[in-house]
Amino acid sequence: MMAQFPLQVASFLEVVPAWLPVITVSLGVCLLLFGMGERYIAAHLSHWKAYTERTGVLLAGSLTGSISGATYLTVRQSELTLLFIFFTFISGQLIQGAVAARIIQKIIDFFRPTDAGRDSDRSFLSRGYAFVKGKIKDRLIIVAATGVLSIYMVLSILSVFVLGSGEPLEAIERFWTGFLLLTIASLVFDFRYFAHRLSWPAALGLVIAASGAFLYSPVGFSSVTTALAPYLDNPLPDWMRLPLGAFGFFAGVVFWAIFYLKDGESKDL
Amino acid sequence: MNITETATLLWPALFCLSTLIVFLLIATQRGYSRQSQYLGATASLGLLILAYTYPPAVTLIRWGLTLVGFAAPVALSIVGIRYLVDET
Repeated sequence: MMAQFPLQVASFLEVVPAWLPVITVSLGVCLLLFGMGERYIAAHLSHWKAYTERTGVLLAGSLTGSISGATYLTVRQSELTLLFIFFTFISGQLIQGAVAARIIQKIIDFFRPTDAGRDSDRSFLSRGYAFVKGKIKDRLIIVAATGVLSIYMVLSILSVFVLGSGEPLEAIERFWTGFLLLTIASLVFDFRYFAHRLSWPAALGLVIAASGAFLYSPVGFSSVTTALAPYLDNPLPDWMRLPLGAFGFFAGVVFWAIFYLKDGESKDL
Repeated sequence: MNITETATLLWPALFCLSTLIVFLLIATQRGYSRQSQYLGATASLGLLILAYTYPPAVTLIRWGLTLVGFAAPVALSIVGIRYLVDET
């Protein structure tokens, strides 16, 4: 019974309906739009006489509502569904690229010797031990969650080869699912650090948008176009999705690099 | 009532509400007279009535909002990456 559990969860996530990523990204974007709009309005109008916090919330909410309503209507009437899906797809790929670059950078930071002398004579093993110990003390919950998710991911991938079809593509999909769950877990955990600066609807929107972005499986975008086929005269050719996805992913890495390098410069100065 | 009908009813109302709020905020800040405050409020209400009685009149506004809606995912994901780098 327990051995089947990871397999079942994975197979549930595997058959993600085609509309789910688009809806999830849109919902996250709406929340981000609302949260950041409210922050923006508060920053610029808070010294005005008639401004109250409730007015700002109402203004941001009604603007977000009218934008999403109008966009929905135009998309439906002018048959722009595919174009809109492209936009959410690209934005999803941007986030994916940035998250991947961020994780790789954290790993490199860990292995790179820090300030000269202090740590260089210690082995990777003892540094790793100190690192893990510090992490566990600091973030007990996320370590537990990450551990469970990692075990789940490994079991699920193993089950493909031991019990399942043994196809590498299926293993990649399950790896991606595990990656998604890990990202959401860490984003939710980091939530408490940035929620007060970003306002909680925007932070929640960021989490939802990121999880929606990861629902675009790197190997299964064609399911989206298959689901849309009845609405389209000419379904999206399959050769288009790969360059588009790669472009979005790469652009995400570039944006990450821009912000990261700028951040580093300002810290050095 | 399906989603399309709800959206058709809702977006002009929400848009007029936001223009009304912005106008009243500006009017109290700049100290407009009571008469011009009424005028502005009537104008945004008139826009709402126009949107419901003659929809083609607000097509331009709808397309403008749609442009914002299309730009929002990409723009906000760039902002999101910014926060991802800064805060995690």
